[in-house]
Amino acid sequence: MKFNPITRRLYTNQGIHIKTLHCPYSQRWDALRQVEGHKTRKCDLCAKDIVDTRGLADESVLTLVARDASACLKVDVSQDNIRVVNLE
Amino acid sequence: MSNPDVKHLVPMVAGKEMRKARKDLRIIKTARDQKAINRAVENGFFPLMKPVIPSSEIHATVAVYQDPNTGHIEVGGDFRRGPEDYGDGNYETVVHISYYAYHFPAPFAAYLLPVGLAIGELVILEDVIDDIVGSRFQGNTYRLEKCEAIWNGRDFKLQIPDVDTSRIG
Repeated sequence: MKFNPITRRLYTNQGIHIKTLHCPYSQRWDALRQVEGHKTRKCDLCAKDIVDTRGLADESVLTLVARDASACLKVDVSQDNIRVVNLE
Repeated sequence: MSNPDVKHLVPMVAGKEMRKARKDLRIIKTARDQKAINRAVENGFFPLMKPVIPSSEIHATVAVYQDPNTGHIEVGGDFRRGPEDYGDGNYETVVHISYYAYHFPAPFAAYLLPVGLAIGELVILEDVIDDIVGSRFQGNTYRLEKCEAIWNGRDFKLQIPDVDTSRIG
């Protein structure tokens, strides 16, 4: 996947827009409660499971968001499956 | 703007209770041009005006790789990949530049203060106006976008978090 930290837009490697990341509460991954046995963490503010995209294939993330446009994702720019783009 | 509102005073709680309390924090929006600011005024907000001053500490790097035979270019911003990863591995770096990558519609902006904002109230600034480094990666520095802050009756005292490379949303 490609991620622009300036616009917070997440794309597949082929350039398909997956999602623009936005959290009104400025939640931080480290502060979220881990869900045992899952790659997700629980957000107590909006009662959503936040999916860690580390190690996920582009298609999996695209399918996830296609199924639920409000799905919440976590992206770290240092992930191996992320390429940072500073210009689109 | 100094009407006390107990519900929104800084919560002196910790852990899980603090997380619950954060849900109740008011979100202060930012307007970034004259039209948006005056629209907010018509809707009962008071705009706390701020200049928009780009910081030299905020910068992102872009590299341009070019095929010397065809002239075709690729643009990269992640140096885990280099020119050798493009085409037949014959691309060359022709531009490598660090620049201010953010664009704003006006050199001023405003935090939109809601009626009843209490002194000491902890809020979330949804779009921080000041240029503060929020995250770093490969020498790039990105703006802090959101931040908790305390209203002191005149301005917000930002509760600046540690830099973080992850984003949620």
